[in-house]
Amino acid sequence: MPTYGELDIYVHRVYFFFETGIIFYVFVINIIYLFLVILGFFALRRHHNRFSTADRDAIRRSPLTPSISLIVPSFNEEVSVRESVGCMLRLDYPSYEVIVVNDGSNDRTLEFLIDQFKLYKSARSVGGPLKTRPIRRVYESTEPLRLIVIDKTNGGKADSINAGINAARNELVMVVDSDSLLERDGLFEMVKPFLEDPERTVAVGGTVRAVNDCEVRNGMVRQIKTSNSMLANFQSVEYLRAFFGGRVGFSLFNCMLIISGAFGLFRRDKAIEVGGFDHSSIGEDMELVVRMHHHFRDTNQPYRIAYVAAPVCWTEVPQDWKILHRQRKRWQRGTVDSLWRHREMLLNPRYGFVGMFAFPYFVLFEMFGPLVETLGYVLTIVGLLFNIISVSVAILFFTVSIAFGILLSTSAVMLDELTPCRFPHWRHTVTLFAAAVLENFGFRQMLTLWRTQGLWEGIRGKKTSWGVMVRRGFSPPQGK
Amino acid sequence: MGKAPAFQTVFGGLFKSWRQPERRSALYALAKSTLLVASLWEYVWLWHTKFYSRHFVELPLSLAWSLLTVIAGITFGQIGCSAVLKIRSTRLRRMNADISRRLTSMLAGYISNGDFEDELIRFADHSTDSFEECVTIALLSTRGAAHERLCELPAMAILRDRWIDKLHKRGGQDRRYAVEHLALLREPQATMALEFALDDRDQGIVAAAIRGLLRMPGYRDREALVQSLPGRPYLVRVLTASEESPRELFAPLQPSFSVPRQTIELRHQELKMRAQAVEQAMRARRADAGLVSCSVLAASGVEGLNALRFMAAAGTGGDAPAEALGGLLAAVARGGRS
Repeated sequence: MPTYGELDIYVHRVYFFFETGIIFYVFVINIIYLFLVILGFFALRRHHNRFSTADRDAIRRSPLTPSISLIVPSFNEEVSVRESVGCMLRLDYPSYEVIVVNDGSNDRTLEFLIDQFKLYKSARSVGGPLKTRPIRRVYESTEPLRLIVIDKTNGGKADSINAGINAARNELVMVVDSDSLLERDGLFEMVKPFLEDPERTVAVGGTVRAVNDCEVRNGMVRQIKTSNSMLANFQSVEYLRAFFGGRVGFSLFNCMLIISGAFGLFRRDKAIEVGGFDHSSIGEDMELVVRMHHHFRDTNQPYRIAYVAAPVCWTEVPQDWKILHRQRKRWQRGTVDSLWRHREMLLNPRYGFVGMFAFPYFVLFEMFGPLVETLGYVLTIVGLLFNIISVSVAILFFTVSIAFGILLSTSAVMLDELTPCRFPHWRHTVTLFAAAVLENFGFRQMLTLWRTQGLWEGIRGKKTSWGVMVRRGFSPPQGK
Repeated sequence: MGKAPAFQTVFGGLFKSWRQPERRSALYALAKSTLLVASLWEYVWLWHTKFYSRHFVELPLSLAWSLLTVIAGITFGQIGCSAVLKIRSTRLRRMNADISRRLTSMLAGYISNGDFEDELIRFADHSTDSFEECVTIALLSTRGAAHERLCELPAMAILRDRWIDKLHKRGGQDRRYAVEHLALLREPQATMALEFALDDRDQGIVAAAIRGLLRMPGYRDREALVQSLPGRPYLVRVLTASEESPRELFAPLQPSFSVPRQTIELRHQELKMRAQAVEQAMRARRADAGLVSCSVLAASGVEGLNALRFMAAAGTGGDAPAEALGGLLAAVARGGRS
């Protein structure tokens, strides 16, 4: 039997071993994030080489310009659907149609659409190769609008998008959330990778940013502002970090595993080839992209999944802790679900950079990261309380996790300053920098905890749902 | 067939195709990022070995302080940079707005046959950049219509030479800018420069040069250039297809992008119909015939509306474009069309 003293030493050693491991892990994860942010810094300028006025004019008049079908799945979106669909109908692009899929909403979404856009029941057939829940009715506008509304039985977001893909008549399909606003000329930039590399490009993702409290008029963002709510600003910084840091870096090596469900452009034939969005998946956007990697590598087809930073989709982020909690848990469950479904790709050289770098990164850091970080906080606090670890080790842990977090967030804000879509007033930049610092004291830890919960639920295989998001609608113009 | 070793599979493809622009830029970015991260770590280590290890005996504490120092330095540097950028851009915007306002009014007066030549020459000597910017805006916004009058200014020769010089710059944006503006000049002197740009590595620049050459009055190699278009990359073909060219140009499109030939022909017909409607509206002798053509344009989407706006602004086609636009606005006001 070991003596008390020996046991104490043993516990101290094991504890120190764990603590050092966690510090190392958090250090590595932050170094990788830093690496991605720096990659973003070097690569971002190329992303903002927009088409010139003359080029756009040429694209508008070109018969070769690819047509786009915008698919807008909506479920109980009565607050914002009219404005966002109106905005989508006013986009500056020569050839596109808008397909709104009402996924059996319980509120007045469909009524509002019928009333606003003078819809009539159409005999248009919207069947296609992808299986979906039954379609109730198809509506078209009596006005010369390129709008189709599909009313179908509730089947989830993926099912609605699939119905939209079936109905689409164009070669490219874009999935946009019905609570989002697109930049008027955003489609030009989104199709750019398809024009540059038509043979290989199968999907393109754009940037998603928070619209909360921005000045919106006639469905267009007129002035970019920070929100009055710090919670929204924290998310704003988070979005900047995720898009300008992570996605730019992953896109460089064609190993991006996620295209936001709020703003993604896909080749219709390729989306159908891989079977469309999977309605049994929670994170259908990520799952589709991972499936595309899986499928095209398996079948030895050259492909490219790109990210372009210039086009922006403005979306309302939750300003309520409860809704944010639900959203983050759902996202984490989606990540777990997608990675689990395609686990065959993990460390499999057959899948190139995706299998050897992106997939392990997502498993190690995006999936299990929150768990290890939570464990780190708990072990450090408990270790300090019971005098198992020294104060210096605790300081090193908090430096590595919090100070690095601040560095990454401020770097993302700095990257935003280098883009044309930056905040025009210095007051908003200061607010954003403040949010970048403050989010590391409480908010990030809370997210880590929620994501750990999501991980647990994902492992247990909890079922999916649309999730309820209370919309505030887009802000009315100033002075009204 | 045996499986290729992991290293070769993952990195082989990357290095083998490094000549592709996207791969090359990825590798450069990767190399630069690695260097930067390595130098930052070196910097942390230097703080640790040279300074903090003498003050703090414990390694974790010394490392933590070194990290904190470097992170704080970078963060404050970023905030400072951001502030400088913001202040600079605000000041520049204000200054440019002031100069541009004065210069634009002078240029507008000059284009409308006013006597501003001396002032403009003085301005061009004094602040060539602003002059260049305003002339560019004037050329772009009038889609080259003001070109003849502007070319009477002696200062335009300086601009043309500047643009030709910019063609040799390393930055793609500079070269694209130069090509687009040389194309707007539609001068024989610009032809050689545009032909030089046909070999540019940036396909957007090549497309701009092709557009410029195809619009150049009396360009001798027009047919050969048009014949070469089907073999060019897709981006170039999309960006040049709007120029007047035979329909066969679109026919050999590769089916890989799954754009059916029928669709392209339909779109081509649509464009042709729109062009005919514009032409008919401009030439209509009877007011009702003009109005019919304008109504066709009004119903043909954004492009038709733009055509109507330009016609109404230029006063071509009589009152018909304005009437058609007015009718449309009335319909919108009634809630008939969003």
